[in-house]
Amino acid sequence: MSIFTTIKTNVRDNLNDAAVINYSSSDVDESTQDAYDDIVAQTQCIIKKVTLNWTGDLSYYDFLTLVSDYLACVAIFNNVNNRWLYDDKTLNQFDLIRDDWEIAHGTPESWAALNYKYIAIFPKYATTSGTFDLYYWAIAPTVVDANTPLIATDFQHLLEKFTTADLLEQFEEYTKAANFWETYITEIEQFKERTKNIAGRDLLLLI
Amino acid sequence: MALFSTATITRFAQEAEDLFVKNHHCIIDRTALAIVANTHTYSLPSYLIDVRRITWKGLKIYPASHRGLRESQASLTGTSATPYNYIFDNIGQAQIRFFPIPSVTIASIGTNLYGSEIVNRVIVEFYRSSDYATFTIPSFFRKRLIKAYILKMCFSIEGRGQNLKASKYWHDKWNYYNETYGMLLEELINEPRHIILGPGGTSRDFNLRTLENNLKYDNIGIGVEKGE
Repeated sequence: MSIFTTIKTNVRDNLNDAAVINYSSSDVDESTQDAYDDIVAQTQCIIKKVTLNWTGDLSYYDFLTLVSDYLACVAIFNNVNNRWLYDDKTLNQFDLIRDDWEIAHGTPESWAALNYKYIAIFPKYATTSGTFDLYYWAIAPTVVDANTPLIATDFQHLLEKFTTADLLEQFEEYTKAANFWETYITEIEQFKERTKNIAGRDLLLLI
Repeated sequence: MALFSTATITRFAQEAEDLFVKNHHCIIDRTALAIVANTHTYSLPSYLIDVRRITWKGLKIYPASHRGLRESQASLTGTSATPYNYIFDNIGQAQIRFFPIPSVTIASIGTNLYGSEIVNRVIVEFYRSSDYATFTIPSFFRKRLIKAYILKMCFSIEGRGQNLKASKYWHDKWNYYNETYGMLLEELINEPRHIILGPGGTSRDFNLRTLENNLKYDNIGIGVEKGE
């Protein structure tokens, strides 16, 4: 398990720039953050929870504004009645249930995504009442040198691959960069598969 | 002197965002129309790409075509307090026509269009193009995507900076990000999760690894177009 300082040192080794001559610290910092952002966004490997207030008469919650590191919704738990909201319907299916679902009042039962920003709740509370827990995929945190990346240990080297390739591109060393990208693109697919099938070995069939 | 001017870079940055939004409709906006009694046609914003949904005081009204209305032999001059169809097939002029013709006047408003004002207004929800400031593609990939396109285009234009080999490299990278993040938005973020067992009795709480190849799972529990 590496901390970001180690990862950045490895990147400089890859670039033969331990003396910090060709690549400034800010260049390396920025590329490392890009790498972290890309891996976390593509794999959705960070899930968080936040408690929010139900807002009266609100049909669509703008989670991108309400939650600073929001990427996408995983699940919603209503603390008022201690139930999970159903997540098996689309907005078109809401329309099939009733064509004025946006103004239907009641205890929330389902949610569906409008886009990367808004989540529709159906039905909605008429007045502000209680809270809900939002479980969400988060974007990558800001890189702090002393911290460990929130990425599976055996995939943390992807940060090095991305950062090295990204920095080689600065000097138009495309052939060299392509070697690092090849590893990155292959392995990030494996990491995506792992996050999707996490604990799959231990799951029981529920159909 | 820089190889590429700020104006050139800005132009390509905006072009990249426009292209992505054109390929993957992901920016959604709403507007409340100012309805005037006995007026059937209304203009929509110029940045509109396509209409997603129109509600009349909260009640969904449905799209129709000119041809569909002609075939129904319905009177085009009838009026009603609540239209039940709209026609939007004049995309060049960005106009919609309500049918029957509204017989009431309803004011416009700019706030709470996702909540308390739905019941009071005529709201058009639509896919829109980016304004490069407020309504943009998601920030978690915006920088990397746009950078690839800027470099692809800057290296391809005539001048001291032209480098066709580099342009090809960034072209491939732009395609990779365009496809990867387009798919992420369309298939992952917009699709129902199926984590919680719903009344329909389908969830995804089983081992996808062993089942995905054997079951067309996408066909279970999704009765309409995915992601809508």
